[in-house]
Amino acid sequence: MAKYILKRLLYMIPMMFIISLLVFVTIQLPPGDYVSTMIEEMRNLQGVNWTPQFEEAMRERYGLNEPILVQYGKWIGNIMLHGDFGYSFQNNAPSQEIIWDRLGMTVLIALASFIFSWMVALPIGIYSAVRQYSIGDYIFSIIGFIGMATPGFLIALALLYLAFSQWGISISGLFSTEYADAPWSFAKFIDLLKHIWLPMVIVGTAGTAGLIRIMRANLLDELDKPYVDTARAKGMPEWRLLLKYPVRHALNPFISTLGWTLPSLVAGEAIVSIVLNLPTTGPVYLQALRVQDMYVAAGFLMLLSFLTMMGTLLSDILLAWLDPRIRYQ
Amino acid sequence: MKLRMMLLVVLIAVLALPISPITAQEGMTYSESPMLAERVAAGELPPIEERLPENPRVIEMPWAEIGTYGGELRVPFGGDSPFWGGQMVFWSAWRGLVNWNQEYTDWVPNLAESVDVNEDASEYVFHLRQGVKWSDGVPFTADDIVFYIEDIMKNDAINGGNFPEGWLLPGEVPPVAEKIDDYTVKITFDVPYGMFLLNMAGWDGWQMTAAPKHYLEQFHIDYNPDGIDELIAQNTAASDWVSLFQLKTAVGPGSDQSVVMRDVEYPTLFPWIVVQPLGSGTQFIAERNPYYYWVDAAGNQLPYIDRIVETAYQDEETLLLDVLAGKFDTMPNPANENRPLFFQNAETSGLEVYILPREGGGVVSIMFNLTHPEMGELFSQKDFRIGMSHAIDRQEIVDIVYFGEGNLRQVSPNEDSPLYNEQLSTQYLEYSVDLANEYLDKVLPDKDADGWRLLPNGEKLSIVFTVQTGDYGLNFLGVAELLKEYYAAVGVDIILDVVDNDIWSNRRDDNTMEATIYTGEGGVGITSIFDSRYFVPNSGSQIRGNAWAIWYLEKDNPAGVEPPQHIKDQLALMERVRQAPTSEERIELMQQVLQVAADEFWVIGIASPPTTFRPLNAKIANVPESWIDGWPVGGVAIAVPEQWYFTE
Repeated sequence: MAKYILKRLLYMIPMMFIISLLVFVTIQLPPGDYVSTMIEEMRNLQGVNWTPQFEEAMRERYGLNEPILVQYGKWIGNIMLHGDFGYSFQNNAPSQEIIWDRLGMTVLIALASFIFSWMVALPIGIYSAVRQYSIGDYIFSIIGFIGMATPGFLIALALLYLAFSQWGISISGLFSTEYADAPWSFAKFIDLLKHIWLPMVIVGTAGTAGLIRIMRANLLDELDKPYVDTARAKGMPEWRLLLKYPVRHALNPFISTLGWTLPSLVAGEAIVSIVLNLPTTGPVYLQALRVQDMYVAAGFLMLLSFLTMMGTLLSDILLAWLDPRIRYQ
Repeated sequence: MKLRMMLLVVLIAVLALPISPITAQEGMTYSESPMLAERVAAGELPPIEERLPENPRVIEMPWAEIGTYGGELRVPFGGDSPFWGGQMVFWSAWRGLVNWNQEYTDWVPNLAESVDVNEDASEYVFHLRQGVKWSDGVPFTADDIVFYIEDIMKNDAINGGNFPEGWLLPGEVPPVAEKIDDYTVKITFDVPYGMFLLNMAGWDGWQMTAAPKHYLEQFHIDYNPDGIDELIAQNTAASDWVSLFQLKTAVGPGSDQSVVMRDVEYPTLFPWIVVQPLGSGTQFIAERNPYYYWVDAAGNQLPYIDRIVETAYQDEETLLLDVLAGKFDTMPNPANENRPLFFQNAETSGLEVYILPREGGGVVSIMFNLTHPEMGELFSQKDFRIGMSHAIDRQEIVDIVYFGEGNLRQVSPNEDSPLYNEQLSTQYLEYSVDLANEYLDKVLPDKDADGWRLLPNGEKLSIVFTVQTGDYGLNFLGVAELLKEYYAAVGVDIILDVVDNDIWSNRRDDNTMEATIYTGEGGVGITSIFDSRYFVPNSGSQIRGNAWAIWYLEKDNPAGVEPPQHIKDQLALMERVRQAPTSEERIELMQQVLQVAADEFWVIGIASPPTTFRPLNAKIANVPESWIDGWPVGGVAIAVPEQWYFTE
């Protein structure tokens, strides 16, 4: 097992290298760069006009006039040697600071949503399969389809409006105003708990609906298999039988989706965060792309790729542990 | 407890009134916010008398009374830029050496107590208010202004080898700043520059008083040759002293002005100073500047409000919802279509709505690019533009897009402005398809089978209107969609191309834009003098003479095109306006500029700008009934937020 994990981890190194190259090239693709954005702002707002000397000086300062390979070399070198992800032009601060600062809340929301969707999807999926075509199954199916078809941000908007129109309150944000910048305390934690359920439910909903369908379909396949009948014939209690055999089988595809669940939660929260005004990575990522703050954007892309790879690894390990039939080869 | 103490201070202040008669400067006793009194008592701050200048600026606005200290102004803003978003802090930066007067017709002294100007307006001697201090307590002196011009703007390493073109370079040679004594500074230009003080009262001026020498000199190689290397080494983003300096300064070439909102160590002269920057959260906090140099008539140091807390939003709708739910005390730039919501939800929001006239010579301007490589020849014919003006049903646009608000007129100074030009304002307004066809037939007589007009080369005429999505609440697209119909009725095909602001700018920069809809500055008072873009092609944000403006502003830019003589004459005339030493001469010359603009009829307007509005917590007092809203005049600064206070 340890050897397998080590091998997988080693494979990740060349993989990350290729991804980093792709990320860097992608970031360079759109026309213009940060200096052109800056000069535009100066023209429009500072009453200062463009001169070729100034543009040249700025490109030089930010190292933007060097060949792309040299830029890449410097960037990746700084990441590997110093953990320096480059400079955020827009924020006048190191990129990693911008990213790390907001990563905590993102991970928190992603994890909470993840747990929420599993906790809801598993029992409902099992129920729907066991009581196929019952009233309950139909109701859950309808809710599930609606959840799958409705984008998270729309649910967020609708809930915001509902809360305001019915009770005249606002439910945006992750903290009340007085706690937003306060140091961590028990009161702040309680305040967080009061707010986090909304993004947790909204971000989790889309995934939940999908998971319910997967669970239901997988379990239905298993329920008709002879080993289930055999166990039942031997007089095994129904619920114990269900959980011990077919559910365990049905979980396999569930686990393998874990790989893309992590990054999709992180990326998926972006637009919900924008609507709900949450201090997570999504809004910063979007802004970085818009003003071509390339090192921040590249940092985010690297992070998402890394999460995807970690997720895949994690799901493979879990799968192997869950189902002994899977070999480490 | 806090409240009781506040009341006590107010009581003392009131009781003190009869004993110490108010002669503005001498014998005035000063009071301060309880928040600062606590810090003085704790020994963290010197007493109020030592913090204020010898002669503080006494603010007596006709609508205002003596207020009480305290409270927190909660403000939401859209986007991630704490500088632009943080409007309450940012607008109050509109306090330079001189300020606008309330009518926007002239300047009044502020940080400079008086200004001596020589006869041809090329030499300015500023007498600074003695004893004004930066927010860290260090005196603001002539050195700071000399440092800004001589050591930042003029430094070849910082500016890339050229003194930046712009308001400080009216002629060919950069200005010279000389320190006469600590509180007297002389600025000399190579040409007469009568507009200098008016420009300084506007947006440009704040940069002059935002370069604290005592703080910035540590990052400047001339002042810190020995220690600079260590500072560069400490800062991972800086590779040499220039990049370090540009990271640390809020003003000068290559700087980022949001440093004042992001770096709590940066000393400023603002009424509120940032004590907790935006950082990674969604909030930033500005606190009263203990050294602010304004007092009210009773000697109370301004501002009254202790703190400003601003919250960043990514989504405008969520922001609006939270404002209506009562989470905030005001809201910047609310859209006019949301105005009814503020009345419907006044109870939950707790906000009162102030209706404001908008600065502007017109609500929007319609421009055809006379310098476009292919289409310019057609657009250059006045008959074409007259025809296109008559084709517009302006009343319908006003009724549908602007809720019926606005008088029909071209882009021009307001009727009560000294620069009003009746011809410029009222010509070619009549909506008449026949009249429009008559003029257009002179230029484009041929039509195809479907009635579309043909170019001289036989191709169907299609004009691409580039409309940007960020429309400053002016609904460019709403106007554009109606225009398409009106122009179709006279046989001119319009293709609407709705783009992001960046793409709009790109098309402007490479001069590929054929036509557009944009703002309409230049209405109130004499604002058309320093924002003359719709009357003279001297700014990048007017499209009708785009390549000429590029030629005029950026000599080395290959996209520029040398304009014909009559345009050069107009640009030269505007230079004379800028130079004119007296107000009378300036206005007379500007009238000539406007007359040329009227005869040429370059820009098509729709109507006078509709009012806008500002919601403010109903408990805030000392707010004027109304004020003029606009960019060149400094937004909400004219309503003197320093004097606002919470009644409960």
